[in-house]
This record gives sequence, C-alpha cells and structure tokens, in this order.
Amino acid sequence: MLDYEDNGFELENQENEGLGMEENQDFLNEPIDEEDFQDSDMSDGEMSFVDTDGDGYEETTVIDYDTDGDGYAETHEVHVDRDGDGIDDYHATFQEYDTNNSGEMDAMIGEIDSDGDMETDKVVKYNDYDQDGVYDNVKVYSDIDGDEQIDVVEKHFDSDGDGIIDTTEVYVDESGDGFADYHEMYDFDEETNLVVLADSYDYDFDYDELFPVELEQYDPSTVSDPDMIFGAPDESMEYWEYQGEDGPCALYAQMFVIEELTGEDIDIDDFINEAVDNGWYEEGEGTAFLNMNQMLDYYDIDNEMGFNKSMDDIMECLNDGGKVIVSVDADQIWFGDDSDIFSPMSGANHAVEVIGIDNSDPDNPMVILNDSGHPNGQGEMVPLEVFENAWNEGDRQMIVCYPS
Amino acid sequence: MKTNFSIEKFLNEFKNSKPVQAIVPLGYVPNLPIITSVKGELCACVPLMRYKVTGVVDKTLVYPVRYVFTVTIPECKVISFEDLAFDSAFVNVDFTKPVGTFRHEAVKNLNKEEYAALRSRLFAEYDKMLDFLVNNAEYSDADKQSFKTLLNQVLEPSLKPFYHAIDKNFFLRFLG
Repeated sequence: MLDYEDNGFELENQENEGLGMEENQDFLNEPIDEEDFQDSDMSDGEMSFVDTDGDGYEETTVIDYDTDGDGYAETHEVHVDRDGDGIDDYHATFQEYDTNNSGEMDAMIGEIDSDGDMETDKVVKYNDYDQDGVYDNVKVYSDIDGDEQIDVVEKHFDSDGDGIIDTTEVYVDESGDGFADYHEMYDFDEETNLVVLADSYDYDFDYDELFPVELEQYDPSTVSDPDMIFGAPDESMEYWEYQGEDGPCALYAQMFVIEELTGEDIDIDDFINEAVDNGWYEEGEGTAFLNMNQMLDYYDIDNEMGFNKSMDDIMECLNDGGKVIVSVDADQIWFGDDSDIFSPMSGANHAVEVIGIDNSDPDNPMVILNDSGHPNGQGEMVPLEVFENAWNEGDRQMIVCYPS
Repeated sequence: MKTNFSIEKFLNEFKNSKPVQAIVPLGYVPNLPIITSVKGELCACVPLMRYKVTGVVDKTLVYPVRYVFTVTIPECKVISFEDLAFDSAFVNVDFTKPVGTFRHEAVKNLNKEEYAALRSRLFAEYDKMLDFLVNNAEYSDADKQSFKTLLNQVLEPSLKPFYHAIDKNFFLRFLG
C-alpha cells in the first residue's frame, strides 16, 4: 500500500525551466488551509467584493445587514456574477439566529439560488450547539429537479465531538414520496483511518425485477432456412440453467460445455465448491478472465483460450462441432442502448456460451447464446452488431472446447 | 522524457491488461486514478470496482473499490497490487453490497454521450497535470481548480471515503 506520508512528487533529472520542479512539488504539497473552507468575517453594514476564484475579477458581492438595529449584522446577502453581465449567477441570503436567547448566534439558515434562475433550490442550516463559534452540524436541502420538493438532504456533522465536521450522510428521495430511497453507506474516520459504516444501508432493490425487456429466444420451428444455422443451438439449449444473482456465470458456461461434451450430469453446487476450493472463483465476486477455463481443464476438456478473435473463429469452431465460451459486456446485450441507462466505465462483466449463429436473414444476422445470467437466456438471440460490441469489451476473448 | 500520455487511453488498455485479467474477476473496471508518487516515482493508483446496471434510470449500482493497482507514469509498469478486502482500513466494508447509485446528483442531467464528454474533459485535465509533472509544462491555479471541479463532479460521492482511505493527501487536495 502507498505510504501516505511520502506522497509528494519528487522528479529527478528534469530541466528547471519556467515553473521549476520544486515549485511543481510545492503545487501538490502546499499545506491545505482549513480556514479556506470557513465563513469569512462579515462586518456590520458593509458591502464587500471578493475574488473567490483568483482570476483577478471580484465576482462576489457580500452585503451584511443589521435588520433589527442591535448593532450586529445578522443578515447576509451573497451575489455572484461570474461573467460580469450584471445578472446574478448565484444568489444566497443567510440569516443568523440566537435560538436559545443566550445572546450568542448559534444557528444560521441560508436560502440559495445556485443556478441564477431566481428560484431557491437549496436551503442550508448550520448549528453551533456548543456555542464555541464553530458550526458542528450542517444540513443541506436540495431541490435537484426544480419541482419545489426536496430531493436530497446532506448531513455534515462532527461524529466524535472533536469540533471537526468529519462525517457526511447523503439521503436521496428520488421517488418523491418524502422518504429517502437510499443514502450513501460509508465514511472515512480520520481518527482511526478506517472506512466505516455510516449507517445501515437500505436500498429498495428487487433483483427479480432487473430485466424490464424480455429478449428473443431461438425457436428452431420458425427458422426459414436451417442450412443457415451454424452450430447446434437446439441441442445446446437443453443444457442451459439460470444462475440467479451475479457471480458464477463463467462456471455455468463451463458446466454447459462439459455436460454437452461428456454427457455427465453435474451438480452445480459441487462444481462451484470445487472452483472455490481451488481459488478459481470467489463467491459473490466472480472469476478472473484467465481462470475461465480452469474447470474445463479440471474435467479434461480439450480447450484453448485466445484473445482478439473474430466471428470467423467462432463459426469455424461451431462448424467443427466445438463449443465456444466468450466474455462480454452483458449490459449492452440486456439493456440495449438507452442513453439514460449506463455505467461510468464499460467492460466485460459476463461469460456466456455461443451456441449458434443464425444467418437465415442476411440483413439481420443473429448470435445465439446460452446466457446463464438472464431469465430468458436459453437460446438468447442477439443481433450480430450488438454481440460484437459487447464482445469487444472483453478483447474478443474466446475459449474453444472440443471433446478430449 | 517528453510524452503525450493519455490517461483515458491508458485506462482503456489497462482494464484488459494481463495483470488485471490474471487477478481481477470479470466485471471490475478502473475508476478515476489517484496521482501520487512512490519513492520519487510518479505513479497512478488505479482503483478497480464494479457497477451493476439494473435497467432502471439512475439506479446503476455502485460497489466499493476492491482492488488497487499502482503503476508508474508514463512507463505504465505495475509496481504494486492490493486487494482491499485484506487491508485493515476496510475491515468494516462488505464488498459484495452496493454503496450507492449512479447517476449521482452532480451528473444526473447528463445522458450517456454528455457524461462521456464530461469524463473526457476530466481526463484531459489529468493529462495536463501529468504533463506538468513529467515535462514541466505550464500549469496554472485555474488548471488545478478545473481538475478539482471536474473530479468532484464525476467521482461518485459514495466512493469518496475509499479515495480518502487509499490516499489521504490526494483526497484532501482535490476531493476534500
């Protein structure tokens, strides 16, 4: 693991032109000024101009008001005009309160228009419970979608009473029913250097409702030209099983092939235990690319793993009576091309058996899969282009298998 | 040592590299790298974690960071690998359970193409910083601020505690 104390940049043998290397290191190692994150002083009745982003233009105007005439400015307006067009890009009003009549301000509420549309979309509440002048609880209420309902609540608080806000919880109400649908799960504890559970994680998620779209399945009775079917998909489909929730897809794919090639009836639980015992599969996690043929080897199946393979390679194997396992990005196959449903980074996340290719409609060639990860995965029909894109994510990995 | 290093290209190649294929289960992808140094070598720590697309808008599940590879830059030589399941800092983490969802609030209004464009802008800021660190290229406070802003927008909030634990200095400088 990295040494946290030794993570400054030290580059050697560099020419010191312009900004020298020492200065470069300073950029990354300069001390972090916590005061930068605290509120600036606000004087009574004073209008001040601030350049918060250091570009030389004072884009922020702060106006402090003493509305009750007690000599203390308890109301503060903040106007930000980044482009200098005279129109606020951001506007906020903060009001301080003495909630317990102690004579000291111990709370503040801010109403914020963060996008300059003249509508309040954020309310921030600060509390200084111990009246030490430092806020020890900040709550941010946000209306993300502009429907005048709070969608997100962020709670920033001092969990260990050391005077430093160290924990953030984020509650999100996406359904708009007024109850948080979920909140973020972990925090980092500065004291112990541990990632700790912030609270119980309650995510309303039903795996069985994962697949909103039923995929087309291969039906030999509807094939117009059987000569244009490569492989023996109808026979291979008999060996398909649904794996349920994630994990053992590579094991299921290997089991399908072994059962087809040997005629042996395999107990999947024993099969998985064998893979776990040998370190080829981790429950709840899955199988590494290069371990995807370990159970084939264990059952003495003649196999060969390769990368950057082609559709011709798949066809050749199927035509020779072989079996084919590939790794794919299942999301592209299962969830299609909805531009609002995606993950930040794509990659191969699933193993399937390719049991045939249907070229009976030359304009719409289809790849036929035994896909253990989808309830309709028995003889799953996937358009060739979709399959190839999904296969590309795994560097076109292919395991060809033949009887020993 | 002049190089046109592209962190985006590196990550795309790294996810299917032999070290990853040998050790990491299917489905793990690299997330945003942490720029650091190890014994004077400029390095990128590459966190690997899983997402699970559920087919429901904004409910792609985000799982904990599980593995971290550290590679030198620009040579891309792997110098360390860690499975965080065996790191005491993560003893409380259940790696099989999601920690949050995507799209998070800061990117919720972006579709797939717009999000990819935003991510590419962030990667361009990574490259600018690396060019500064490797080649002494010009780098301003505005560049630093731009990197910080984009990083905070793109990184899923639920992963920030993991970044904090993996490299506290990087976290405080750019994510805190």
